[in-house]
Amino acid sequence: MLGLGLLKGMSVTLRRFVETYVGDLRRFPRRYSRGGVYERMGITARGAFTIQYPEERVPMFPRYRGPLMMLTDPAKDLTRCIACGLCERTCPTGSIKVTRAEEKVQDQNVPGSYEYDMNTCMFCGFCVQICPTGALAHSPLLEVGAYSKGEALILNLGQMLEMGRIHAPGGVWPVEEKEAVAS
Amino acid sequence: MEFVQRIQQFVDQIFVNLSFWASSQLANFLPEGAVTFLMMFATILVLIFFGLASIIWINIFERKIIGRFQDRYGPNRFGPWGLLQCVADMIKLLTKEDITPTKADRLIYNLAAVVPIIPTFLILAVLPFGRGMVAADLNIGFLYIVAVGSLGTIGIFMASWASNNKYAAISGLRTVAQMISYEIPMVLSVVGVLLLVGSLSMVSIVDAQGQWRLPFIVLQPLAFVLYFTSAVAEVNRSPFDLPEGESEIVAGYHIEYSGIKFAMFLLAEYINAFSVCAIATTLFLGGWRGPVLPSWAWFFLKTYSLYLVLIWLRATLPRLRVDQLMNFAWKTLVPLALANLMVTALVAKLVPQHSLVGAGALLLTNVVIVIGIAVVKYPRWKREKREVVLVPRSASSQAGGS
Repeated sequence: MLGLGLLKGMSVTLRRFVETYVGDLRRFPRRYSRGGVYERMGITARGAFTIQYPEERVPMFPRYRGPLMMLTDPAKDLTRCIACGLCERTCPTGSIKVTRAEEKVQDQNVPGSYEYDMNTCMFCGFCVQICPTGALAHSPLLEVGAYSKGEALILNLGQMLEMGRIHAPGGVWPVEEKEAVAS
Repeated sequence: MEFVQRIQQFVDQIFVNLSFWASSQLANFLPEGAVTFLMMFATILVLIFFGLASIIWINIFERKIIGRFQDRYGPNRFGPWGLLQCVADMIKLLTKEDITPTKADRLIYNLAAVVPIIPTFLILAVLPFGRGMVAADLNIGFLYIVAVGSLGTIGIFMASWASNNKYAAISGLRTVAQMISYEIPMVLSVVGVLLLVGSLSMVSIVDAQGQWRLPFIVLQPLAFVLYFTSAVAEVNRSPFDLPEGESEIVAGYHIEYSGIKFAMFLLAEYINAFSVCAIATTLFLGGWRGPVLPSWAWFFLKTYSLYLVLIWLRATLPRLRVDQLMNFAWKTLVPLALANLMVTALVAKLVPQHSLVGAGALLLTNVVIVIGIAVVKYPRWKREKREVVLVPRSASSQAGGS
């Protein structure tokens, strides 16, 4: 009443104004870092909470359905894929093409070639569900851009294994949330 | 000590001396009339250039500060700390397509983009930026400001009508209603100050504050609050930004404008906000008076501090409804301004001029007015009645009963 509510509201914004500078001073030489996102999340956080995108990223949640990657069995140091072709058959858009290699490696069937076409993939996750050995997983990648459709977005076996090695070290997925962001 | 004083004086008078030096140089090879004319022209150019250039830092200042008020960093991508953001904005605005709607009244539509900016620059002419730094010391300075300041309304109304757009038309009607309503408390609140000074000239208003040895905000705090509130409404800034309320009427009067013409409206708005702060500084905060720092530095320090308050208001308060806006002007601001005017006129005659006793008496009467109006306008019994209950206290019992 009588404008006291106005003063109260203005004191709130003034406090926030000051707190952003206090927060800047506390983190002094570097205002933001990769781990800084965690500091500024939640309702108790003070100061500016803007996530400075290219420098900082929001941690991707474990059930995010990104592009596919292939996991490695750490015991054998070999891909978990047994080239059964179930993923190829279940894929609604026909984005996966698998061929089996002629010879077994360490008593296991392995894929001779594996083509995953990100152009047509709709990230439904059927292949991940149906895979009997858990060889396929969604990677936490968000920025998958290319300048043109076509070859750039078609991943082969080597690339998918590489992605698996980067995003799921030890062949386990989902990994801990923080580790995924750090990598 | 003397040396320090001389340096202070030199820095203080640097712009005045610069203009004297320039005119004396010109006088070597030009007749007197031509020199006067050229110097007048140069002053106008400097003011216009200052107005245009100040947009660069006012814009970035506003965006950075309002970001902080809202718990975020402002623009921080282009240039160091994002300071070059306005350059990017300018390039964007200037390279945009200049669209004129087919149904628009072409002549008035194009003219309206220029009209609001003219009074904006005209106001700068009578502002004392420092000791002796005033383009034209009119003896009717404040009257001139009031008269010229209202001209901007015409430009906005022209723009809204010529656009042939329903949102623009609503905005134009709102603008006219708002500007005319808020002009009255704005002028009435300043009349108290003018009574104490006995002159309308902006320079003598600053001088009078030197004679009182106090800025008029101490003598007339109520008038300052009234003036500032109605000035915010006068320049269409939040929380009184009904003419361009984004959530209601898209963008208001400049909805159809694009590119450079839109930039002109933006320019007029920002310079208007600046000059309102500058006028408030001159009238209530002692103008360029202040210790140690040069006079022009004090003027800009005070003006930009007031601008900070404008940004603060914008970051905090939600927009008023149209009826609330009108009620606030006519039922709160005008009575308060009238009460302040009457009491100031009485007290200023009774107490001695230029004395601390007089200042104390004026301050006291201001406090008495505020308390008196509060008691009369919002008596205790009325206050309890106005209490808003969001959930009826007996909601559960009522539900059970019916």
